[in-house]
Amino acid sequence: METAKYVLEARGISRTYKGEVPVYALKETDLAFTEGEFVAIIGRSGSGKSTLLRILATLDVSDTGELYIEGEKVSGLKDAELARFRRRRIGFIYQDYNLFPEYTAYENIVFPIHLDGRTEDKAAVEKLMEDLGILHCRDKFPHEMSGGEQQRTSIARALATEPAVILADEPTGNLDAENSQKVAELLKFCSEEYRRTIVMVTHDQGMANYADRIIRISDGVVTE
Amino acid sequence: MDDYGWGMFKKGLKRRSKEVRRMRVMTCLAVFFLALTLLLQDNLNAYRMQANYMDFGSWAVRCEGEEFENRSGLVPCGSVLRGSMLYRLYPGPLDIDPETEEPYGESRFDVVPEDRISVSFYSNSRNNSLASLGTFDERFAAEQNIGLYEGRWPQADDEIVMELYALEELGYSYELGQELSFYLAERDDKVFLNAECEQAYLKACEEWRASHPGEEPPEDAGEYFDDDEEDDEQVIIGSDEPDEAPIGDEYPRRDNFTIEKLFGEMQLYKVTFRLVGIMERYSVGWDGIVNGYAEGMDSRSWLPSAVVTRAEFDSLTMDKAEQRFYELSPELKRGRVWETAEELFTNIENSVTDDSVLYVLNRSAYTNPLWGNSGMYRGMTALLIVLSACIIAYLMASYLGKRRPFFMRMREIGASTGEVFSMAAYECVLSVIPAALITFAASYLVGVIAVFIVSKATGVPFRFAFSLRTMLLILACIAGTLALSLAAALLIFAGRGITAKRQGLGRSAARSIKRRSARKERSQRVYLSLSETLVRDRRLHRIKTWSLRIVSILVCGVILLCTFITTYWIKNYKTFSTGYCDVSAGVQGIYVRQCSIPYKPNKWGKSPKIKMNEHGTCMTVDTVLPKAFMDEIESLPGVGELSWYGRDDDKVILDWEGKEEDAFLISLFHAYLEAGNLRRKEYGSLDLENGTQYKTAKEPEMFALYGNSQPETAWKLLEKWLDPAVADLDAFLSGDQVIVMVDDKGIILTDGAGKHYSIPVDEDGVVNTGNNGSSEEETGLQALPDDPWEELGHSFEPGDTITYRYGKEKTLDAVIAGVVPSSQAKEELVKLSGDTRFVNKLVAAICSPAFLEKAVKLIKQDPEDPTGALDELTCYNGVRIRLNEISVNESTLKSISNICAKYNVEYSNWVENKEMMRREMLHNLATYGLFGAMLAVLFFFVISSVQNDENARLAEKISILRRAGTERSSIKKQRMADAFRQTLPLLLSLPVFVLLSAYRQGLFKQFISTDKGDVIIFPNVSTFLVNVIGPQVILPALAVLMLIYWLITSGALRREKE
Repeated sequence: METAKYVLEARGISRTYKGEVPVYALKETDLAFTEGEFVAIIGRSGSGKSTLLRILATLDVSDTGELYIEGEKVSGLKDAELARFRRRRIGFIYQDYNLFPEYTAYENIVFPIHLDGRTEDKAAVEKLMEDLGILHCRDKFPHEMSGGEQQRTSIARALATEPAVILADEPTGNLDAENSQKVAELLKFCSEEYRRTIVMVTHDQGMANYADRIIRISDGVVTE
Repeated sequence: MDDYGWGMFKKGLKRRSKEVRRMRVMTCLAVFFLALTLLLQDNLNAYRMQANYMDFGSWAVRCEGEEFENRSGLVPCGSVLRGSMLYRLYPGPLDIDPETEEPYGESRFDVVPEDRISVSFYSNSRNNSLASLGTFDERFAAEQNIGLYEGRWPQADDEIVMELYALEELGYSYELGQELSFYLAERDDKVFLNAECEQAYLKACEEWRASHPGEEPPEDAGEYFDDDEEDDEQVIIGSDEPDEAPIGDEYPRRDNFTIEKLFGEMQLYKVTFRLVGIMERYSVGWDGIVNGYAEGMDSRSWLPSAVVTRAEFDSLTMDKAEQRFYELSPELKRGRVWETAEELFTNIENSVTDDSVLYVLNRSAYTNPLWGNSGMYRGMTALLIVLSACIIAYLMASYLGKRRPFFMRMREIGASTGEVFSMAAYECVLSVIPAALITFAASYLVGVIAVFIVSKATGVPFRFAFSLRTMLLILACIAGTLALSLAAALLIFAGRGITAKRQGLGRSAARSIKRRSARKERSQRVYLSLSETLVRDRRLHRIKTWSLRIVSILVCGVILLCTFITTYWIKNYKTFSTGYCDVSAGVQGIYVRQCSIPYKPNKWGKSPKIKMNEHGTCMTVDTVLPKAFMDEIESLPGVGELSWYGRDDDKVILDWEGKEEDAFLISLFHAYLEAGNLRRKEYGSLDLENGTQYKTAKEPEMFALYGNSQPETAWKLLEKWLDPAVADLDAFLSGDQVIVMVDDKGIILTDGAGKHYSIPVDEDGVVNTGNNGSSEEETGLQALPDDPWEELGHSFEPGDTITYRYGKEKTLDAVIAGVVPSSQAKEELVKLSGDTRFVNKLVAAICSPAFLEKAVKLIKQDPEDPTGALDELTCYNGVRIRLNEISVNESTLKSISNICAKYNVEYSNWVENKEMMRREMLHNLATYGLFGAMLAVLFFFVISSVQNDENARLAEKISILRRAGTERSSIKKQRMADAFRQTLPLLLSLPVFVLLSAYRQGLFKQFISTDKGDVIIFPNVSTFLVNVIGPQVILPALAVLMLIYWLITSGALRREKE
């Protein structure tokens, strides 16, 4: 495999949750994603797809293997470096939006930028918000927005730092069918328009069909 | 993160002001809890020390000599000059002037004027006065809190101030302005005058025996009792009759060894002063460790109980000594004075090795801190700090736990651990530090105000005690707990995985939840419940949950301790007040100076005679307290037990000499009966059917007959032992029957030496009273055997005739209506009157007044019969009143005053409060009571805040469950169950505390052995309930209050909103 041409690559990653009965969440897996690719990881509940996503997002550490983002090895980075990597190269979209309730939509979107020590381009952010159809929610707090608007805000936050990879964990899980479709289309749009690699975890085949590639996972084992 | 980012973070905090405010309030409560408890502890201790100084004086050491003059840590604080002991005269038995029929020397009791009989109400009295004469100045008195009940300090040389107890002991009243006379010893031997007389007499007797070998002293010599218990030969106590037969010329006469006769040798001289003031009891209350004193000596005697001016003191010829007082230096008094004082005292004890140095340490003033000793004090301080730290840590953990998702999200969007920790620290500092500092300062302000209030309320002046140590402890606790909490948060934030929620349970928590789930499955209950959620939630936060529970239990334990101490002292004080001690309510005794009741002068117009015996306490009176007076006193509310007594050891000697009219005798007799307190002892012989005669002696008595003024009641009380075939109430009432009581315990009262005596009776049947040990040959009577029952071979039976002999040919027969064991008779007859000593005879009998009337008439048939010349009637002219309730003290005294006025009594009295006991109770209420109350209030607010917080956290979970379909009623039940579960550890701890308290009070007194081993039993359930459960009512009340609050705030009791 040529690492350089992959935006995101995982080699031999595995994860086991220790306990009275160890849970093999992810067995040794090799994955690679190219730029602008929209990949769906589909599997049943408990199949290990969220674990896989969290490892790819560096939110969890695999027991074995290595992770590369844009050719750079992120496994073994120190906390500060990893944090910098995370905020610059990775965007994460949650199933339950995970917006900060005390900040407005605009503030939620720009916070990661400022976390990186940069200043946002207001125009660019507003355009992004307009593209996602949430400009009217600029000064609204999450509890004042609908589920769909919150999820789009979450997407906007993920896109605002112009990451190399956007990872979405069941982004339509809390949405109705109409909004789910809109979000799926939005993600498709982002991957094409902004050339972002998007990896989406879902259990919904319908959502998965929007992806360019579907990866199946079952009991911690990835099959394509 | 750039400045804008920080700005956004701070903006977010502002938008969450409600949560921040809540955190600040909880911080305030927690810091208040910490600061106020420690400050209160320090200040209550300062209060206690000050109260101790007021009670016991501020001196630390007192000593005769200059041993401590230059000792480091001590400063002189005055001195007291002490002189001779004060002596009064106690005449001996032969000290009656036969010409004047008045005693020699001074009598203890004044002759009562014709129009009055004195009635005095006494408290405990002691036989030996330890009063000594001395002087000190008013400044010293003020500094050592020696107060005056009445009057002023002496200013002129003929003025004197006496301590209250000294006035009592010396037999004086409390009237200011009266003249007091004492004898002072030029040579201070510190022994009592009477003892010296006795010693001198015994020595003279020994010398006589030594110079007359083989000779025995005359039988009527009347030697004194040698109370050396190791002697096999016991000497009989001397005669208690003053007018004894003359004794041999060569043998020492007792009347030559009187105080008056020995004056010259004793070098006593008389002084007279005018009483201008009465001191509070100060020589008794000061307690301390006495060092170097001879065994049995009392250091109180080294403090003068009678104070004169310095000039007068200097002018008196007597041995003098100076007691120097030293207190702790101001530097040592600051801070933890109880520890400082203890070290100093230990140092003194170790360093003073010369036994001739006599000193007293005043531990009571200095080593009696809050919680009893310095070890407990330190322990309690540590406990309070730990509890407070746990509460603060709990609050921090709770807050950080709620904020954890935010910080984890921060990490997820790219914040580093350091940045997250900075944000968390900033947030905590912003939320906690300002509130903590303001509360810290406010707690000092509250402390100052509380000190002011307590000081005013209790009358103990003390200032706010500032301790740098305590301040630093408080700050260190706050800072330390904050730092530890943040450090714990850092560990969490820096965890391997970034998770907004906890991933899994620990092993034990997982196991217990599995077991629980299995139980639910077995019961086939579908369980999607709040209870389950709460249980799992608490298992996830086990440390937090259990720390709160343990803190609750420990705090309640401290509250219990405070409750126990305060109720103990209240109970002590009330017990003191309810007459179980020999004092009355809240008072050591009621002292009535002169309470007079008019009496009818007798027909011959004679005033009461005073006859002195060896104790000097006989008094002759012609009348007694009217029954009506006694009834009114007894019926007063607040009056408890009344101990009526005759001033003369229950004996009043009536001189019938010259009284010939039967009518007068009978009327007098009835007057005594009417008083309701007459008991008449008959001295005669007891004849049995087999012809054996036993003669009774005046002392000891084997047989006695007592008339009772309530014969019908006495009959009814003893009816069950009477033989229905024989007993006849009418015959009893008319004097034809008596009820006999026989000793069933084998206790026979004799002269105390275990010997019985037969008393010689001459051929005329005259009982020669006062002489013992006559032989059978002389008397013709059989001596009473050691075990009369064995030799007697006779037992009394109902229907037997008992004959009483009053001199020659004067007999009175009565049929025995019944025979009652004396121990059981005693239990019944005590209901009639408080005195059942008469039952402690081998054979005693109760008769009606009619029988006694017959006896009186019998006696007076022969005016020449000397046995009729003297009789003893026991009647009451004094009473000891014990009050029951504190609250009616003043009103009861007022009522007594009114009753005495009604019977033409000149009544003036004042009451000496038992200041020590009352003050001690107040001190303990002010300290432990206040501490416990404050702790309870503060802790309640803390727990309430915690519960509010938890309710807010649970609201979301409940909302989820409701959406999932759980019914409202089910949620309500589960919340109630959860509230019970939360308070369960506290409720379970209460029985443990109860048992600990019972054990500490020694209520596990008895063990009974069964087949299964020893079993503990409670000997007294009511005692257990009163002493153990009673004081701890506050804890169950607190637990119930918390439970109710939990139920209300958790919403378990209210309707759920849709």
